Amino acid sequence: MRFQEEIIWLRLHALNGNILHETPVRIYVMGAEEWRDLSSFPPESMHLQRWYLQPDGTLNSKLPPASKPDHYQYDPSDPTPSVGGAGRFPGTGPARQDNRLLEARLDVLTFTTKELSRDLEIIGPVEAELYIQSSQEYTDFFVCITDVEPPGKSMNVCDGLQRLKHSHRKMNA
Amino acid sequence: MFSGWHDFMLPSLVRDYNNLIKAGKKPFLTIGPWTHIGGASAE
Repeated sequence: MRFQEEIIWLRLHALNGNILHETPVRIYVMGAEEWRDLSSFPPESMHLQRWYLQPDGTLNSKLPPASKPDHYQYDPSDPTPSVGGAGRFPGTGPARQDNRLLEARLDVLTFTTKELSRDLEIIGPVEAELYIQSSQEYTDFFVCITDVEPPGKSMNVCDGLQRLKHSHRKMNA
Repeated sequence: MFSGWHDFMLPSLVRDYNNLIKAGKKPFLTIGPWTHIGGASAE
């Protein structure tokens, strides 16, 4: 598919054509395992959904009740590994990996939805808003969305990494 | 414009795409099941 797309692009420029596809956006929907042609990105039908981290480690669309902060301790002599995802170098394994061992670590917090009763498509910008406090001058925050498959495998969907300094009051990652 | 869902450059490419749209251009965007240099399941 990738080469096919590149050939279409080359043909466009070599033959001085002016149209690449009927529609300007072509994306692969992972999970559904299909290509989809769109007139814009994100798709016009997209609507923003907010999901909230709950004090009991669940994730849902209800505003969470007031609660004590969750916390963890980071040990630089046992750094949190990176499992899959986009920020990898060649040779460090596939982008989609089982994150269960990572999620079992004491320096990782997880928030999990109930089993989804129907397919959920996430297409478009993904942002995480965290309210945090750190005892260190510099702290890295890594947020990863995974898809928990029925047998329990927790596979990478997307992620973001942000380094914060104490002086950063507000930052979007 | 080509990128992949597991490409570390995807956020900046989408930013470029949005800037081109704002500037009145008509970019073509393709996002596949890929990393920056290979397939999502490949090394």
